[in-house]
Parts: sequence; C-alpha cells; structure tokens
Amino acid sequence: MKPNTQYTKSGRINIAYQVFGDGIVDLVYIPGWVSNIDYMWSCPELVEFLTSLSRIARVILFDKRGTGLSDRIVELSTLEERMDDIRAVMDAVGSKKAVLFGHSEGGSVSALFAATYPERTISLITFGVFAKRRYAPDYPWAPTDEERQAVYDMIENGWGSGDMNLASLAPSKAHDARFMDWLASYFRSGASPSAALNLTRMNTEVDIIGILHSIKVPTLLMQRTHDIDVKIEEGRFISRHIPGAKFVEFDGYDHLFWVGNTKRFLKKSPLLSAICNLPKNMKKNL
Amino acid sequence: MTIASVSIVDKLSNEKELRSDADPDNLIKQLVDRYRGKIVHYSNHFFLTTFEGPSKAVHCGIDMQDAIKSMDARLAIGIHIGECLVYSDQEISGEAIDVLKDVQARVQPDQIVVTQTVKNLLSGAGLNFVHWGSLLNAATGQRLPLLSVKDRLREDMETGSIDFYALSKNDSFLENVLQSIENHLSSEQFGVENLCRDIGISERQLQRKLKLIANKSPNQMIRSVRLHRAKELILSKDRGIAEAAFDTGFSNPSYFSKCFKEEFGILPSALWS
Repeated sequence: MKPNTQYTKSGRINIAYQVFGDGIVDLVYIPGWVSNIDYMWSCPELVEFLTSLSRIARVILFDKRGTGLSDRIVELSTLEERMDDIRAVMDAVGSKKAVLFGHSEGGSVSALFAATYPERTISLITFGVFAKRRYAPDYPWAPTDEERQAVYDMIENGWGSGDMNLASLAPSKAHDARFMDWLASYFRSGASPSAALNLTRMNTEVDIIGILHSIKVPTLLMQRTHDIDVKIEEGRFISRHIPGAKFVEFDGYDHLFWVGNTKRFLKKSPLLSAICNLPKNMKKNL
Repeated sequence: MTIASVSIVDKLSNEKELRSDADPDNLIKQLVDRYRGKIVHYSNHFFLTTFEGPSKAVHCGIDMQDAIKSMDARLAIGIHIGECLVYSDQEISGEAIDVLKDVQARVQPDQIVVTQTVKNLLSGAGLNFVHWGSLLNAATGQRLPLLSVKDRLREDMETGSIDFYALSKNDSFLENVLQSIENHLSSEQFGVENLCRDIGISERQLQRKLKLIANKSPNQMIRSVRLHRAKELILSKDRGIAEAAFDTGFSNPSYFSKCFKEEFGILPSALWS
C-alpha cells in the first residue's frame, strides 16, 4: 500500500513526502543518512514496520534535500536546513505537533529539532542515535579520522557495492541476498556518490552533545546491544545527557531497526507503547 | 534557542550626521528581520536577538558587519545556543543569556565569536573557525571553548581582492540563484554570464560560492534546476516530454533525454509511463 508521493517547498527546494495511516497522533519518521521514500516500500520488512506504525499514528515520511525523491539541486545540507525540511513537511500536512522518530543520523537531527522547537514536538524517539561521529577522549566510541577516511574511500570507490560493508548495518541479513541487494539499491537510489560522500564528511563534523540537556520533551532512545555501526555506549551516554530520557536495549547486532528481532520490537515495543500511552490531552488537536 | 548579542562598539562618525536611512540600529533591525530573527532586548546600541538556528545567526552577523562598514561603525557580535526564557518582547533570561553576556564582554570590534556548542552545529555552513579563548563555567568548573568565525568566501575574496558588497547570506544567495534560473527557465541562451549579471556578482565569486554551498559549478546548477523543473512538469502530466524539455530550455529532445538520464538515472519516458 505505497502512499502517493507529494511535494512541498522548503525555501525553493522541493521536499518529497508521503503521509498515511489514520492514528490520532502524528509521527514524522526521519531516516538516517540517505533515503528514498518510494524505495522503502519495496522492502517487506520495512513495509511491515511502517504498516504497524500506521495503525496507531498518521505517519509522515520524507527525504531530506539532496537525497531520495527530494530535489538534488543542492548536494549539501546543514543540520539547520534538515530541521527546516522537517518543519516544511509538518506544515504541508497541517501537523502542529508530532512525535519524532529518528533513525541513526535522523535521530541527531530529531534531537536538535526537539530542543529547538519543543512547541512542535510531542516526544522524541530514536533508534541507533549518535551524538558525534569523530573520536574524542570524552566520546571514545566514535570512529577515528582514519576509520572515517576508510568510509569516504568506500563511498568514493564503490558506492552501494559489496565493498561498502553494508552487512555491518544488518548482520542478521548478511546472507540474505535479496535484502542486501535491496539495501545497496536503496542507498544508490537515495543519493549520488558525491552527495553521499559530502553528507558523510559533513556528518563527521557534527556534534550535538551541547544541546542534549536542552531537550525537555519525553524521550525514548532504543538500540541493539551489539550494534556495530553505533556503539551501545553512545546510546547510554546520550540517554544520560537528556533529562528524563528512557533508554531501551534490544538483543542483537543490527543497526537497522526493521530487521533482526523485529517481532519483539514491533509487538512489545516501547516505541508503540510510548505512542499509545500518550496522555489523551496530548493526542487530540496537536 | 540560538541567541546573538550585537554591540555597536565604535562609531567613528558623529551620530547626528547620519541620515535616518543610514542608521546602524535600523540596519541591524532590518537584517535580523530578513534572517527571521527577533530582537528581544535593545538598549543604547546593544541588541539581544534570537534566531531559528545557528547558521542564520552567523550569516546574519556576517552580513551586518559587511553592511555596517559603509556607515563608519563597527560591530562586536557574540553567538551562543541554549535554553532561555522569553517573558515578553523585551525580556529574556536564562543561563544561556549569562554565558552570552560573558562572551560579549570579551568580543572585539569586527569579530564574531561563537561558543563551541554553536560551532558543533555548523558543519556544512561554509564557515571556518579559529580558536579564540574559553569561558570558565563557575558552577561546573568546565571550560567552554570560544571560536571566532571566518567566512571562507570572504577570506577568499579578501586575498583575491574581490568586492563582496553584492553578496548576501548563503541562504538568500542560493535562493537568488535558483530564482534567477527559474525566471529564465525556457531561455536556452541563458548561461553563466547572464546568471552573474542577474544576481550581480562576478563569475569567479559565483563559481566559488556555489561550489562551497551546493558542490556544483554554475553550469551544473543551471542544468540541474532545469532538469528538476522538467521532471516536475512531466510528473504533473501537464506537459509531454518534448514540451517539458522545451519549456525548460532544451530545444533538442534527445539531448534532454541524455541529460535527464545522467541526472536522475532514468529516461524521462520512464516517468511519463
């Protein structure tokens, strides 16, 4: 049940979005890194997840500028522009206030959005979020400059190919040729090699630690204990810095939330209960 | 919220001789407004302002400093991000404001100084930073690094002695470029030279600035905007492929198809079907 793709303007840039589901609360899904909202619907595991969400929320998907189906006129976007894109899409669907669900890099942008626009954020939910992508003594779990350079080289020399080591994002699917083929195509359809490289370089410089204590909306952070891409210590660190944040660990190695032990995640997920258990007065007319 | 403090610290000319349209206070108000900021406090040539994000605050500061030069005045600008309480149009308080006031007390004329928290959120904004000092947080005993902002483009232009009068902030610069290209969408002849003339900057400046903020050459940008608009027309089913190509400045349909395939990885006919 792929929804229609629509467009709205963020400044002069077209942002592609989809809206579906009939829940009484709005949920904006902010994907990690690069995305393609049409291509999401050709992955059965992701479709199952999105469909589950749509039973309890009006779900809003979008591709940030420079990626997926949004205008790729500009290959670079600052965190601020990515926040503007979220706002533009919320405005387009008439959402005054929404639950933000951010995956990986999308979690970092969501966190900044929640700190900047608490009046438009019901709650913040993330999966596999990181606060920075560059090693520092006080954040030793992030990749070193040499490790980041290896990622740049992989993007430059083999964007979307087997050399990308995509299996580390979804170890439970490493031997599922159909899934791995989809994942590679998904990234390729999400950004050009140069856009992916620029985005990745830019992400290396981002650091949201300083704003975490300013997040005052209810926050739920989730991650798999043995996530290879983002270390579990990063999730724990972030949850300690957001006042009142709840951190939930799931067994497994997958960075992608829609693969691995999804049944437990979907059926007993704190994500769903977090949305379902919203106070009634927060659900209506938000 | 992003907060910025602006002091007119040194006015070389007699204030009374300034024309009302050349009033530095007015200029600052106009620029804050243009960057969708708000002035939350004003007294005696000192402004406290809030912005939607750090990039808008810094670029507004850069524009202010450039524009104020023609008025024989100089500005000291501090920028921080944190929680504040805005009580009314003229009242704001909070720990972040205290930090900002400490920063502002040290900033010299012609400088824009930001806290590390601000700098960490500015990746991709086309700015360079130089370590400038630090503030001691008496409560935590931790030092908050401060950095002064260098506009990469302005540095380039200063060394290349290019006039940067006509340049404005990155956001509106890009908006102006996109607007200009869209205004001449159907004109096949519209090229880099016309674009430069239209937005009033040299070809070299255009090239550098676009590379910095969009990672594209001017020609790539023109082609990309045309192709994106053609794609919109085709998707809306208002136009056939040949018409959409013609309306976006491609008189040769096969050349259009080739460019389209390069940009989007599919032929325009795939969209139409």
